[in-house]
Amino acid sequence: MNTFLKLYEEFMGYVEKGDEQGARDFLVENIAKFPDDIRDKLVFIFFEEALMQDVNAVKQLAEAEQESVKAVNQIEKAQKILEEKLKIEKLKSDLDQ
Amino acid sequence: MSHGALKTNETKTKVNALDALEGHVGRDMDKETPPIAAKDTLDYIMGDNGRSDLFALYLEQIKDGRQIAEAIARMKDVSITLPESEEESANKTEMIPKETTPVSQNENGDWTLSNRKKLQTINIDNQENYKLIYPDGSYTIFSLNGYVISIFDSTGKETYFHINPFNEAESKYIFGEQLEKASEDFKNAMAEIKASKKTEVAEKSVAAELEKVANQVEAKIDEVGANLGLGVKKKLKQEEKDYEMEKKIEEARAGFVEKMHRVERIEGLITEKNLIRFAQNHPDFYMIIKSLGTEKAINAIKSQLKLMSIVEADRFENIAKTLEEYENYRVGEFAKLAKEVQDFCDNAGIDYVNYLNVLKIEDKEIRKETLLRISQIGASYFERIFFGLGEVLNSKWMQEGEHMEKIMAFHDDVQKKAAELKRLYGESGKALRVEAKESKHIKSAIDKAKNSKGRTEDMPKHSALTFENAREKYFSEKNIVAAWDIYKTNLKNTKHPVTPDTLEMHKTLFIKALKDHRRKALESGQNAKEGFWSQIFNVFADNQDTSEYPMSKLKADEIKKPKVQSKAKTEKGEAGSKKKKEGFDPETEEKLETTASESFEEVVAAS
Repeated sequence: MNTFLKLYEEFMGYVEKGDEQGARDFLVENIAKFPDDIRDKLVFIFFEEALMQDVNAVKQLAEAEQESVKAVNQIEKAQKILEEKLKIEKLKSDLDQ
Repeated sequence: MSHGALKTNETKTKVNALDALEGHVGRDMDKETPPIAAKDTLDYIMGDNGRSDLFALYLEQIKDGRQIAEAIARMKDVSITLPESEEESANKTEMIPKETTPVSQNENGDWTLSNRKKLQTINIDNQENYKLIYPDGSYTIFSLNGYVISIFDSTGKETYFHINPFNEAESKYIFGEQLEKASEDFKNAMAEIKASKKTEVAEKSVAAELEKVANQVEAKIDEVGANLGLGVKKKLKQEEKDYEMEKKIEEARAGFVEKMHRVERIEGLITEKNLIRFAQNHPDFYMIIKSLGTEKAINAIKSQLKLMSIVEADRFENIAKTLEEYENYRVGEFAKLAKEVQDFCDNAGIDYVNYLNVLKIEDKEIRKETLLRISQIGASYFERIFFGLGEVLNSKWMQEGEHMEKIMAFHDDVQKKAAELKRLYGESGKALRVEAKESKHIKSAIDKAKNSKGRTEDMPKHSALTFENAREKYFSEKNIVAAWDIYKTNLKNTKHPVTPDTLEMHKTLFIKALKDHRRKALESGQNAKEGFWSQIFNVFADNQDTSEYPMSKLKADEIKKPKVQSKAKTEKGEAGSKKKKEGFDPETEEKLETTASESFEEVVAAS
């Protein structure tokens, strides 16, 4: 049995057992041993997964940051208004005294 | 011998397939045209650049691609090998070489005709002429306008030559027509010579000789014309077809080049830095890069992108758009936003990365303490925002005021956003990585990889097919053996039982059916092809070795030998051996493949 079929047999061992994590780990750990054409295809599948995952995270973060900036800006505005109100309140209080 | 009468007429310009391939078609050649870029020529596709194979795959995908490939080979002597179509493959055994092979032309312009005659272009007295060489070594020389000048025997002895007796003014024919026209004119001329008493060559002996030669030449010309398939009408039709085909060739070339340009643009985004960015949140991909090295990983991805752009255009587009979107966020919108936040923090003297951490701290005292600690120039900015706000909120005026509810809601909103950021920050690891150094990313990825137990639980599930579903559809070994048993049982009482003699032939068919079944099953259903495990199993499903692998586990002793008497057994054995060499006929093959497919379906239904 050639090297590739040995790898395949081992991989299918995890598959037959229903061990998803084991099958995944096996591919990652042995990727360099696969024939070039198979290896390239496997690399691409992992790349595709990593890309899709990363771009989603980036998009979510960008949206969150945008909102955080807006929130802080609103707080600043609110603070200024409230500080003005406080001053007026204090002045009124001083005058009453 | 004299060739003084040889004269080359201007020939009608042939539309050159190379021109079509090089982007000349449709251009007005009289107008000054800009130089053609290398990428707009056939050189971009052909040559030692690996694109010709992709072009062949591309032609296979598009309408009329096979005819276009044939036209390119015929019109420009560029061979493009397309994979066998199913029909071709099925009919392979029935294909018998035709008696006549297509006319071809070598790089010197010499034609090889169907009956092995050759037609060379020769230069005599600075005039271009044709030399038709017959299999016995004899040859005839024509002027370009198709007039017969000299006939030589196999020893090279000139057996006939004659000055041009025809009207040259009308000799504006292209080659195929020239031959026919020459034949016709020659006959007319001979008739004219014989009828005329005035012509200087009207002596009986000469006329007789000419007639004799004319008959010979006429026959040869007809033969050549027929072999070339270039009768006048045929030629005109062929020209029309060629013109249409040239447009198709150009469309195919342009379409392919556009695809390749797009692939090249996308390949530009497959950089070491980007790969590391993707890897930082994907420990498996990080480990793969670490194992192969970035260069190999990049090459692998690029090679697949090229192939995918042709054979899985939708998947390629999805990935291409995602990469472009990512890049847009990274250097476009997201970079702008990140800078905005960065500036905001810089002005406040706050470490940018810690900024979000501060937002998520709920305890006021701890938050204040943390702010003071991370602030480089003091936490005044944040203090004013958060604690100033707190002071206002605690004030008597505020407690009693009508704005309290509104302000509190606003405060809650900030807290919610902080919580959301906390969640996102936790999910993505190094959320604010835009400005961070790569070494930090690598370290982070390593740390995550080291603690990768249960990591798949944290990963978003993109699979349209889960591991279990994909495994089921891949049709694992247990199912294959079950299907094989059904297949054998179904054939038991037919003309084609699975006997030791026919075992290998049945296995071959079974493998073919298995591959088809796996491919169709994995690709069935909405977005099934997009799933991680579906893709993984598809890689193996396409491979011949992995398809054959389970077959090797089907032991011969599992095959029940037919119980027959010795004589009958011998006869059957002989018949089997004969069959083994010949294989099943196409009709039987089709039926057996259907039987195999049904056995797979039966196993699926049972499971």
